[in-house]
Amino acid sequence: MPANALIHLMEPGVRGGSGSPLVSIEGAGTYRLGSNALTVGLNNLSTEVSGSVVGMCGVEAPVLVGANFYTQIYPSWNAIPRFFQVRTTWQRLENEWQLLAPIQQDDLSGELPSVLNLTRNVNVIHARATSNETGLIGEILGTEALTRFSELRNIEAGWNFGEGLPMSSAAESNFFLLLSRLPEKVPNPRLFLMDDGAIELQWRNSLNERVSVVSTDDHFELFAPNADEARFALTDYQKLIEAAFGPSVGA
Amino acid sequence: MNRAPCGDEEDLIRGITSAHYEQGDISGKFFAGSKLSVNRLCITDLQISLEIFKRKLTNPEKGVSLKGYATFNHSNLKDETVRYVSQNKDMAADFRIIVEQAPLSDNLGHAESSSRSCQ
Repeated sequence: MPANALIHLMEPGVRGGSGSPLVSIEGAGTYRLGSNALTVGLNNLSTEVSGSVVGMCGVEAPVLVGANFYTQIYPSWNAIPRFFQVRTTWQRLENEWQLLAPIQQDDLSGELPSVLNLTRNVNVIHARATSNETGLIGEILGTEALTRFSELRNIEAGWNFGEGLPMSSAAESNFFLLLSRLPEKVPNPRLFLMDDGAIELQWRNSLNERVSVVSTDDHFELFAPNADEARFALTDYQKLIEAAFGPSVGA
Repeated sequence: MNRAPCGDEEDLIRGITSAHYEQGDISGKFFAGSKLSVNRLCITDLQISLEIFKRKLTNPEKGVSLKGYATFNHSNLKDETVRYVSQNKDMAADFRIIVEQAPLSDNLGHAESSSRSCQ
C-alpha cells in the first residue's frame, strides 16, 4: 500500500458464515488435463473415477522404445514426509502417452496430501483432505491461524462491494503446497483473503520487515524487501521460499 | 468503455474489511489489483463514505465486517506503483495502477482501480 496512506481502525466486527464443500471428482469418463490443472478433493470420502485421466507425457517422462506400458513411481514425493508418493501407470496409444485411470487412493501414500506434479504436461493434481490440511496449518502456522483460515474460507462471494470472490480452491491447494514445503514454522503469521480469491500469508522477518506470499490460482507472488522478483511459477516454489526466507532456509 | 481517471491530487478512501485485516496488520496487496472499489473524498466526504462502507462492507452473512478505512492520495498511489515496478524485474516497466471514476446510483463517489500497461 502507499507508504503514506492513513489507516483508521474501528471496533471489532462480526464474523460468520457456513462451511464450504470440498471438491471431488467422481464418475465415469475421460478427464483430459491438457494444459489445465485438475483439482481433486479427497474429503475423506472414497470416490470412484472410471475412465482415464489423459495428458500427453512430457519430456521428463522416460521414453521406452517399443514399450506400450510402464509404471512410474515418483519417489521424490516420498522424500518429504508431508507429500504423497504417487504411482501411475502409463499406456502409449499411437503418439500419445495416457495416464491409466483411475488414480486411486491406493496409488497415493504419505502422511499429508499436497500437490503432485506428475509431468510437465499433465501439470498438477491437487489432492487434499480436511483433517490433514488442518494438521498442516496447525504445524506450520499455529492454532490461531487455523481459526483465521477457517474464517477466511467461510467468506462468501460478493463480500467486497458485491464483487469479492470467495477463497479459490486452486489458490487454496497452492497455499497448501507452499505450507507443505516450508522448512520451519512461520512466526506470528497473518492470513488475508484477496478480492480475487487468492490467499496472502504475511509475517515479519528477523529485521521486523513485512514479508508476504500470495497464493493465486496459477502462481505465487512475493512482496518482500529487496526481492527483485514478484511472480513465481508454481513449480518454482523452492526459489520462492529462498527469496522469502533466505537461501540457507530454502536449501 | 473508457472511464475518466481521478485527478492526481484527489484524496481517496478504501474500506478495510476483516478479510484484509488481522491483529493490527493489513494485507500487503490491499491496494494492488484491478477493480478495487474506493471512494473519492471530494464527492463523498469522510462521513458519507463511512456510511456507505458500513452499509456495503458490514456483511456478517457473507463472513466479513468493516474494520477500518485507509485514505491515500491518487498521485502517491501512482508513485508507489512506479517505485514497486522499478524494483521488480519480472514486471512490465510500464505497468501502472490508476483510479478511475465509476459512480453508482447509490454511491456517486465510487471509483475503481485499474491496472494497465501503457503500450
